[in-house]
Amino acid sequence: MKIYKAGMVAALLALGLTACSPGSGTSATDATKAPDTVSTDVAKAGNVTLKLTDFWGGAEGEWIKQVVADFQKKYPNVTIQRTNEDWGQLNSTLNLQLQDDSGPDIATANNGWQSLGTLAKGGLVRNLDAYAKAYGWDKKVPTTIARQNQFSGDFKTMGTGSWFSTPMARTSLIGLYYNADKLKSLGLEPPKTLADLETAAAKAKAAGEIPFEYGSLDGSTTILLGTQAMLADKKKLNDYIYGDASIKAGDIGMTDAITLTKKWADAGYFPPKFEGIDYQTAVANYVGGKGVFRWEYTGSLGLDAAKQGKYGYLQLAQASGSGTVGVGAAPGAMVISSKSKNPDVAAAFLDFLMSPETGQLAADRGLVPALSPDVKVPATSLSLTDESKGAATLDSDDGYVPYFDWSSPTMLDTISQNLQLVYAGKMTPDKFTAAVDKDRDAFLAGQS
Amino acid sequence: MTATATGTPTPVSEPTTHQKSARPRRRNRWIGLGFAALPLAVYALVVLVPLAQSVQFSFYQWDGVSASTWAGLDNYKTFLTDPVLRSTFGHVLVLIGFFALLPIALGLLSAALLTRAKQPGMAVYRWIFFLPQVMTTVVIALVFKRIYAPDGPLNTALEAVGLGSFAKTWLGDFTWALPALGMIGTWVTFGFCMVLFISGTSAIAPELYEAARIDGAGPVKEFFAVTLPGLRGQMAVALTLTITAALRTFDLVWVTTHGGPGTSTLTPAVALYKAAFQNPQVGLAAAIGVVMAILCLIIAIVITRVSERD
Amino acid sequence: MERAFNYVILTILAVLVLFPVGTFLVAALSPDRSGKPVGFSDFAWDNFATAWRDADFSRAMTVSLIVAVCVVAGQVILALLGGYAFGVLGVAGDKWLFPVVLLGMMISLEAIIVPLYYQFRTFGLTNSLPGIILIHLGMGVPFGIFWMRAAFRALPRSAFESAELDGAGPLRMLRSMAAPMARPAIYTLILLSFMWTWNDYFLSLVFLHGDNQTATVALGVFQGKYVTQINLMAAGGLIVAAPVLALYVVFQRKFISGMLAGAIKE
Repeated sequence: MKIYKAGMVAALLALGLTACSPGSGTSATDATKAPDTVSTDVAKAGNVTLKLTDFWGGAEGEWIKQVVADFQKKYPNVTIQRTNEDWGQLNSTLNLQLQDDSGPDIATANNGWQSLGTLAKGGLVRNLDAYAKAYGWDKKVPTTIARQNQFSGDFKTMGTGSWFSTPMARTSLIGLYYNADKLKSLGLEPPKTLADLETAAAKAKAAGEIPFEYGSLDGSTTILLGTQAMLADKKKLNDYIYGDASIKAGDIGMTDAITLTKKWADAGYFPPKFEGIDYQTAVANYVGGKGVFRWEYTGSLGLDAAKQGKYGYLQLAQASGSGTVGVGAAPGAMVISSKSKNPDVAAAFLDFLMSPETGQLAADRGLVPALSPDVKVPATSLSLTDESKGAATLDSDDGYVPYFDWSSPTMLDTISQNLQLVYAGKMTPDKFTAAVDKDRDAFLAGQS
Repeated sequence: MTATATGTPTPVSEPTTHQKSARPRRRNRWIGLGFAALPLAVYALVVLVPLAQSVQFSFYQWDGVSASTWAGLDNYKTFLTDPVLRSTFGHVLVLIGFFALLPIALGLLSAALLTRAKQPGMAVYRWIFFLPQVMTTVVIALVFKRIYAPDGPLNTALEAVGLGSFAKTWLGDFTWALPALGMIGTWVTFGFCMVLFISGTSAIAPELYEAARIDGAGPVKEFFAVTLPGLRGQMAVALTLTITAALRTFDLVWVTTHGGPGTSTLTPAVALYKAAFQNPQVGLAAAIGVVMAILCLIIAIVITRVSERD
Repeated sequence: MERAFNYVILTILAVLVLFPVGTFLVAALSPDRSGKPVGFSDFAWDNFATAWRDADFSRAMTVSLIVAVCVVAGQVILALLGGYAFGVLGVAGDKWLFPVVLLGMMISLEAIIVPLYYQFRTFGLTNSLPGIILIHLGMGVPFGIFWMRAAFRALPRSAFESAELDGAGPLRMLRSMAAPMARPAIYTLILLSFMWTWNDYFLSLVFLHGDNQTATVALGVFQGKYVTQINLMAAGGLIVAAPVLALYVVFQRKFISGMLAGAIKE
């Protein structure tokens, strides 16, 4: 009986608490408004130490280490202390860290409403408009990429308004990888269009190969989003993700994309029992030589130098025949903490991250460069040559669309879960599209 | 009922006979409060105050950063009416079978076998059975992900013994994912139950066994007549801890399936984590936490009452 | 006959328990990053060295060790004080205090972590070892009190009475009589407390950053946004599990057998 009382005590304690509501202590500071005067002269800033926290490991980690070293060489008065945390840890705790006085000055955030939107709205990261003007970011960065870092003044709309983060001279795209040897032995050319791809896949299947290496255990959505980018209208897809309620998921190729994906699944184009294969295993299988094609984020196959010559990458043209559209964004959104005491120097570092030098550093480490057309890519690397070509096409076509899951905080869950239902035959493509709309519309309704 | 709320985990069952004779004296109770003050203060600081705040959060719509708005009971309504969130209760019921009932059965069996005879090698078995307890959950989850893979050791083993038709995609299967997760729980928990029961068994007076043997009871009858009743306290502890563990299952699901396929393995704790750390819905997360805490309390009360009856 | 039967059942159970552990070992020795099993000759023994270096375990394990040792020491003291108070002396107001303590065993950490973080931030105790030690202590109080209270209650009352007649104060009784007599329960508490603190992932994840990361969190370096190196993760997992396993081997006798001895004493 005594245990009842515990609950009552807890309830009483709760009532006895101060009447102030959660979050009222952290009022939106001046940080959400752009400061008037900023300096781009780093050398004059005196001795400055900046704390950088990022989620890059492996080749990306090597890249950022070199970038930091080069920046420090350029400005000997600046020291950057770098902390590396894994992706999940940084994402789930960044809002807490940025409220700490000893938190990072610069950090990598995740674009979209899950993370960046909340940080901007809560005044935890700086409005970077003044720096954008001082450094000319609007000219340096293609609009479709720039939008990914912007929020409106009332924080109800993403994709327009002020800069709250910056991209870098690297990109992460969704596209189609192919196993060059397999394609050759099947007597096929790398496909250029969706129709080519379907023909190639059918041939591969007939020859006893697995057309697409894929596993859906953890709800991998690259295949769906990659196909959608070929089928959707660029402007409408951008607008949908940036919260234009008048556009519905059916208008942006969602039903077509899911129908096509399901068709491939039913035709046996995926490995047997792909429902039980997790993302890591699928990647390992593909790199190990199973399957002809794979829809994937650039840079996630972890190809070593030898393998880079064996795998090619394709940014397929739009099904409508007009230009190329691809899902792509910088692999992280760089933010400056509102608590940072040296925002000018931090902004200079952000600008440095968008420079051709850092793009070249990326290419040297097998990472896909962006924003820097003159970067030299090692000729032996088929994949990197192809990937850079894809990025360059999207740069020149201004053909980027953001990751679809930026459209609402819960969208990634919604598409992952429902994709599994569609594969299992428990949901129709139409219902899938309806569920996507329902998720986004509920979010938009809550915003206004 | 006033003596223990959830039974006793110690080697020895409560010596109820002593208790009546020596009720703590008045003066001692104030000294006792002094003794308990330090632990209680730390506990209040770390658990009670945040808990109270959590209760408060649950009445707000809050993204964890910017200003919040009063939401009344909306968060609770969402939790209890949203079909996906509500389905998590059903999943927990299944998990309780695997996290609580099965491990307790296996724990009893192994404890009985290990304590009955002083055979050589028993310490080795004891050590092996407790092994899963000392491993980090994240690592365990990754291992089992590998085991359940379509070409993993489990399917390979099934095929090797001619049961290939039972091979499944396990964690990718809408029907089998939840039981497959449950089996991991059984694997982890049963060693803990066993240790509890071994310590309990050893506290049962040897005379009781002798008496039973004189009456001609076999090992099975002896188990049901002497061992099982003697373990009531440990049973209550085991049930309370394992059932609340089932209700709070998080890392295991998070690392293996993220709640999928579909939402077939979503648990309240995973939903809570998603709300608190992935989607800025701190209020909803708090509401889920409060409901879970209340459920745990109710379960503890029921178990205590039943175990202390008669 | 009965003996053979015992061994058969126990061995079946042991195989079921060890099978996943075996897979784990094989994964740790696989050169393939998805942890696919390979033949003995292909075993990648240097996975352990690589894991040790990549996860910076020399630093992370030191942090884990400092935290765990401080928590265990503090935990035992708090549990002794609390358990003795609730179990032997009695506590004014325990009719409602004890249930409130028990409540703490049933709350999941996820439910309170956000306010907890804000609270510790105001103390300036985020990303600090004293801070996380304090949190571990607070979270461990309910079980500690629950456990030691029951252990003390199980001691013969007569011993306390005679000691009291000798004029021993409560503190001296705890130190020189009750605590030594409850030793088996204390050993168990040490092991459990060490194990729980050492294996904690979530608290360290949220509260500690940079050089303060513990070993379990350090394992995360093998899990990138896209690429998880399961073989290194398994090797690292073994390294992280080693101290607890060692402690369990050392304490095994005291942990279980010691309990038997303590129980029979009466």
